[in-house]
Amino acid sequence: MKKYKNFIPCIFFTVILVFLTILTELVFVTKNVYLNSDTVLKIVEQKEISSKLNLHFKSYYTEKYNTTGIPADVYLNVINEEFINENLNLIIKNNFDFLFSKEENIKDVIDYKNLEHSINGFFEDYAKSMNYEKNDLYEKKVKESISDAKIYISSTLDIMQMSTLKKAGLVNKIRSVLKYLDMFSIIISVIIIVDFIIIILLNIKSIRYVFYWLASSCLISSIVVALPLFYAKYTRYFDKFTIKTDHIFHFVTGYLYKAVDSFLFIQMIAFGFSIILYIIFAITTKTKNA
Amino acid sequence: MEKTKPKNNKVLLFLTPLFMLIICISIAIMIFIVPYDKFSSYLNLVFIDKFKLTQSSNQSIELENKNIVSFETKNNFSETGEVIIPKFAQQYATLTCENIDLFVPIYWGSTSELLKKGACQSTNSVIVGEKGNVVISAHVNTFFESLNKIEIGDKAVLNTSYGEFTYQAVEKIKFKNTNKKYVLPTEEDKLTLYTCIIQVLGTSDEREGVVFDLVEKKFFS
Repeated sequence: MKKYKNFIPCIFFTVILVFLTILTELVFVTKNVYLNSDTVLKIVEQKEISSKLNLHFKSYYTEKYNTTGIPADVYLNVINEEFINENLNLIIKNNFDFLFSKEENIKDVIDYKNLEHSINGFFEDYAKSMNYEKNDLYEKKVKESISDAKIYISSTLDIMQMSTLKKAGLVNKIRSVLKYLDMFSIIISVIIIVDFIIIILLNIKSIRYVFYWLASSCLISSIVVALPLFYAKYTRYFDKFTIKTDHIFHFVTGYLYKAVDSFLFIQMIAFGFSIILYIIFAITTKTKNA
Repeated sequence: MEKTKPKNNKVLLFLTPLFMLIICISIAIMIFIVPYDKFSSYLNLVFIDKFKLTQSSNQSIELENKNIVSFETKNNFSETGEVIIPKFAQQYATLTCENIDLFVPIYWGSTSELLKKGACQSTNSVIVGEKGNVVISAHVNTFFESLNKIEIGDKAVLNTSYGEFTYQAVEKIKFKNTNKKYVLPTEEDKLTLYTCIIQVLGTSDEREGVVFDLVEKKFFS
């Protein structure tokens, strides 16, 4: 009985260590993977978001011809895959800069010079062919067409939906989390060290049991996190989202699956580490008994 | 006794992580269920398509001041019944055409204000459910943007509080705004939908649309 008097406290502190380990992993992955513009840019490349966007613009402006009378080529001569790729990269980097800053409004970083030139050119040729006098209505129509195109292009290329996140008040929530992320990771690290010291003190007479409790915490934390992640990955859980826009669907699901993969990778490391610690415990126990 | 002690130790060492796993999974479910719900709702808010209304075969759903009011399930239908005459500017029906994802509120009467809110029915045409030509128009850059995508054979459904009326497209039409041929009363039960053909500069004087024949009448009883 004497031998087991520290057993229950060890279980208690190991369970705490499990959740502290999960939190540390989450903070690490959030900082280095989820909130990293390179991650997003890699997903954009892997999922061929630029070519999907190109197809989307082609279909949109071809259909829009019925309602505006402006041929699709006026827009599509400018909005090609190169334009999309270049501006997508700029927008993603700008979105992350915005997220990490204190600015109220997101800057529009797209260069519309060529688009304005194309639309102006079309209207001038059209007016010339119709002998139409360039009056206030003409200027209004040109301005409206350019403005509508700018709004549509910038909102479509904003695949991270930063403006929607801002309207929903989520940008401020994310910023408040980011503000305290570093402090939070320091606090977690301190608590882990304290917990670890307590486990050592509880097992001071049989120090090899520290390996056992540490191994158990790594093993349990990896299983607790890995189980739902494996489920999400192998049942293609995020494919059930009803997002009709193709490029947004692929971006969002790509990002979520990347998040799952990154976290799963860490669980594999934790699982491997727990096996090594169990082996060390087994060897030290055998050595002692021998 | 001595031999059983090491065995008991091994069993305990094996079962303890299992026991801790069960405790941790239970705690994890309790802790993470609320953040999971919030995370799903944020994802829905930001990324999922806006609410798309779909009709079940038994329910009549109407848009009223942008709030969706759902009627009680109506299971009894008949071919004959009474129409309810709407007031001017009242939204008294909805038009659905699944093939082109069309779902539009229909107002009785036509003014520039009503055309901003939905499609408008000419007061010179018959009320939905009565014998004759139901004539409905809307702006091409709003509600009838996809009207030209309707193909012959596509179905359109008009839902009202007194019945459901199904029509089938029989003719695609184009006419000048001075030509009243398609908006006149008819003997046959028809539905005529039309909109402007846009011109880049200046006002449009051409119209395009679709004529439907009535295929099914269901008055609620």
